[in-house]
Amino acid sequence: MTTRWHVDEALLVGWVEGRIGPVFAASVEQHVVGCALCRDRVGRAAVSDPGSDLPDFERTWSAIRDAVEVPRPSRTERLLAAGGLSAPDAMLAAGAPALRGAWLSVVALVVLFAAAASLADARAAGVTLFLIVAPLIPVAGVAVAYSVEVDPALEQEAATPYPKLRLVLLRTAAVLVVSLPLVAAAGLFLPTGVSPRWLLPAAGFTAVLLAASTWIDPARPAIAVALGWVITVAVTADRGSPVELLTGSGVIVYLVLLVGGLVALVLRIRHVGVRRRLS
Amino acid sequence: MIRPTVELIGVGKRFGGTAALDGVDLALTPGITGLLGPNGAGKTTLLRILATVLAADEGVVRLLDHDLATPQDRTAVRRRLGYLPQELGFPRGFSAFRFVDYMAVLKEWGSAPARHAEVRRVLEQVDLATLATKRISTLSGGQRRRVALAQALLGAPDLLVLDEPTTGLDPEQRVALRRVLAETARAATLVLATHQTEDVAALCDRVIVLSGGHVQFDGRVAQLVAAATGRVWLADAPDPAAQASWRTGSGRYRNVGKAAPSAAEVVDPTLEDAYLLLRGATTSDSIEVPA
Repeated sequence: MTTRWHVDEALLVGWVEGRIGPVFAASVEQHVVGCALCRDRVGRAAVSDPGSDLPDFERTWSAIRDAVEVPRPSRTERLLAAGGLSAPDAMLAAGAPALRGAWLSVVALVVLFAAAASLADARAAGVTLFLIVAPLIPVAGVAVAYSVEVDPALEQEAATPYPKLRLVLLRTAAVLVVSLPLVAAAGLFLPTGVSPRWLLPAAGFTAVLLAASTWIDPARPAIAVALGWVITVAVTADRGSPVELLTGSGVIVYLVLLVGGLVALVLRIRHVGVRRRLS
Repeated sequence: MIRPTVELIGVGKRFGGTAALDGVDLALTPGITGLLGPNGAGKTTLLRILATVLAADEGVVRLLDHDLATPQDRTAVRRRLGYLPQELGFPRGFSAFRFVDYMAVLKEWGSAPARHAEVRRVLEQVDLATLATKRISTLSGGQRRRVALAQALLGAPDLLVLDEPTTGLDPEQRVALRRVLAETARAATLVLATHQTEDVAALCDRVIVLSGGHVQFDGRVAQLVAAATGRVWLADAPDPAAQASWRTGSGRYRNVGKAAPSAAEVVDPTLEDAYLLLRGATTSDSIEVPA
């Protein structure tokens, strides 16, 4: 059936607001049932009427779908948000593959092993193992922050406008926040002179890798740094005590790496930018 | 004249000693362009360059009026870009909704209500609204590809780069996808690489055939098909003179070659016939494409 006439605007608004008499109301109601155009106008009038007690179905439906579809933030995400990150940044940082279980298990196992060896008779072996592992944990943190080897969605992520360096820094920070306390706690079992000095090579390596990540995938340089460090510690341990690496000229090398890496990183931040624009 | 939204001048890319792309010149305008070519022709390399995830070694790449010379240029392009890569990867444990939402954050959608509405819009566009809460690892290959396509459609991009978008989709899904892509291409430049010539025939205004890192053909689909007119014929047996022959459902053989024999039953060519002819053509006997 084709409707040739439509409800007068004033009458329609009056009906929505409940201001017209029963005879007119019945007439409008009968027409609206058969006229899609006027039903649509009723919807608009109801939404634009702040006093209307008709529910906003659009908003209600969205809220219901949010409750069903939007996953609850993970523990890591909540922790990062509590630490001051915005909800979107916390979501991206927590999306780091490194924060999805396996990483923390490996860190915990290695650190526990080193600490256990230190407590047992093999104190020297424990110190060597701890020295090998502890500075490399932040190195691995950078490597897994943004690498095609560990992030299966990187190809899609790389084509988005979100600043890559910001993502690397966020994820590295998140990985360090959740793993360094474990390492630091294990370091308490070691002789004085090891802890907290291991933080020096850790900081130097991390700064250099973060700067390198602004040009290339950080996984390869991280592997090179790790291999170099393992060989250096092993050779030094074979000749005497690996703790020597944390004194004298070693300290100068780490400081040079740290300062050089930070300067390069700041220059690159200025060049490539880390500010994101969220609508 | 419409200003090109994608412009490549003398673009080259090498991997070790192999040239994946060599001296590629292209100028694309809004609409759908299909990219055909055998494996290793350079399709994916070209699309990765268009998606700004891979830098060309030589030549000029200009996308949406930006030269990609600076990080700011690349970011400006990425704000208007959607990309579906060939190899799909998803973070472990993510649902379809969470992944597209995660990608929306990377695409600078900050406000949660607007972002969630956009995520729902694109999931509905690819017909995945009812599977939004499913873990991606439990979805089929075609459904995963549609999840990845949904993230590419976020924000209605001006440039959409799709590497094999119909792989793994059943015929109904492919038709539905074609509808979505045709709708999107009304206001955008869409480049898609595929091995499915029927998708190109159904969707694209223009087709580019890559071979060995070079552009072998660049023109309208109808031009390429027209070039095969009179070169496709049916016979009761494979014709030794044909460049390619195969048995059809009717039991007869479809032959494509340089010219049909005089008494042969000539049939209308398809884009696949024309593509096969082009692929078989050497430099000396390349097929002549009418203007």
